[in-house]
Amino acid sequence: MTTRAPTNFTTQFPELGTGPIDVGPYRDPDYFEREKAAVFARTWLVAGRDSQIPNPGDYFVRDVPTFDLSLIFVRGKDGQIRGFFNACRHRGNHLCVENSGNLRAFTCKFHGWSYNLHGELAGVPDEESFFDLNKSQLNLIPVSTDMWQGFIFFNLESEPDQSLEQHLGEFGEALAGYPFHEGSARYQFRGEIKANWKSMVDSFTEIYHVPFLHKCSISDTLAGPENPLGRLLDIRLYGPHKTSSITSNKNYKPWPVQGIAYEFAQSGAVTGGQGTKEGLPPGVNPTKKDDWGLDVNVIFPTFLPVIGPGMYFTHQMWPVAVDRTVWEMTGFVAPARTAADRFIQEYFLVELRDAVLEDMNTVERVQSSINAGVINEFHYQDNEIALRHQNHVVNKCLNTFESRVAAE
Amino acid sequence: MASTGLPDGFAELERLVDEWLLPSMTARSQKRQASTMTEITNFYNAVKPRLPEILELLSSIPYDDALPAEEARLLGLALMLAEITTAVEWYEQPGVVDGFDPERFKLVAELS
Repeated sequence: MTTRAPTNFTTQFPELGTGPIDVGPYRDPDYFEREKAAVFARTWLVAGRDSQIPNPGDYFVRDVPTFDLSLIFVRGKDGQIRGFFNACRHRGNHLCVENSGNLRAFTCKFHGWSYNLHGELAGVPDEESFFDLNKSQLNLIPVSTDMWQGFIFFNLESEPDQSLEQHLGEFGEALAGYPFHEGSARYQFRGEIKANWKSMVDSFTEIYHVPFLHKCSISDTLAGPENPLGRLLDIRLYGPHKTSSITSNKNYKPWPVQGIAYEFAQSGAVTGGQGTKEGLPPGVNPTKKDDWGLDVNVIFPTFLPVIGPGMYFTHQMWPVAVDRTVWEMTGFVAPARTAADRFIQEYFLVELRDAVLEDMNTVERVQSSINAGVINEFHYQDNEIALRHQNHVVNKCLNTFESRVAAE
Repeated sequence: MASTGLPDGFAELERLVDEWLLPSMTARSQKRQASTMTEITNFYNAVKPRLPEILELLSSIPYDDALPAEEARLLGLALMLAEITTAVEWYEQPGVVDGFDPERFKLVAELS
């Protein structure tokens, strides 16, 4: 048996450097305000999936904690998905107060103004008492909305600098065709973490920590004797996006209940990652190695589809303050066909939940060390290249946006 | 049929139904956190040896609204086993070792 050789990723990207990283962007409130303006207010962000609203009139509400905003995504009678700000044009009350549902029209509970599913103002009670009300100018305010592989994206700019297709670029092409739509049953965890949003992204994009932090749980699955130090299989950088490709231990011996679950897990039916490694798009398992475990993708800035054979889930971070972040972990699994499938879904969901519960104290402790000024720089090794890249991309976005604004 | 009834062959597990059959993942997780390691291990030792037979039976039952009550109860016990297995096999304590507070990371949408 040979162990994985040292990697040589970072020096292939000279713009990333190899030196320590200043922690200022993780604790400076001014930097955070610049990120909100240059990144979150003008980049494509994910609202949810089309399978959440399969039928005409189905809608869900997307809270955007970063801006304390509420959006509505609705499927119209024409089958199109549209996004609107969740605000009645009369005085701004939220039209939808439930998280999701099915409607024939939106009616504001405050004064009864109503809108059709295309957002057009349809009815105003006691209209004759208004003064020069131009109803055609008072439709719901649309939010820029586009789709990729069934994911619904929005952009808070009314005229985004880039289309979604341009934003995703080669990354979008390389992952297109993965069977995301097979996971039509959905679960979601949500929490607010006392840490900078980049620390949250960082914690899921390296596996250097896996043999240590996860030693009682998933370490042997991902980083067995052939990769005892958690070295990456590969890193692919696509402009601001990236794929960290992670090993699996081919000689892995399952835990007792896990072994029984694997025996009954039907390929592709569940979250267990026992599906086929064949026929995946070029961007999934990009090296096409057979000791591939999973890929942690980052769709810049904060959407992380984690993709393995026969399973995927996503992390998404919503910055609230420089040291506060709302974190959502959302799983998408094939609906259980048999009662045994339902057990298998639950078993792997518990494993995933417990493994991520192992992660989150570290990010809050890191934040307290940097907030206190005890730690002023991070030291990243080669297999933490994704963290170095994220920091680099954010800095570059801020500089590009601010130079453009200064020139205008 | 008593409300603790299980399919034929699983009568020995009926004594567990009142305490361990819970309606949601959140309730199962809270039950795990509130139990002692002795209680959790006793449940694991009772149900885990039967798991292959349980899954053999449940894999012939469609998961839909017509799921019979006895099979639904057996599935409920299996789901509780799913919940507590990591306590036994990974952590040797009810909660995740040095784990983030599960009350701060809530399941807001459950699998049905």
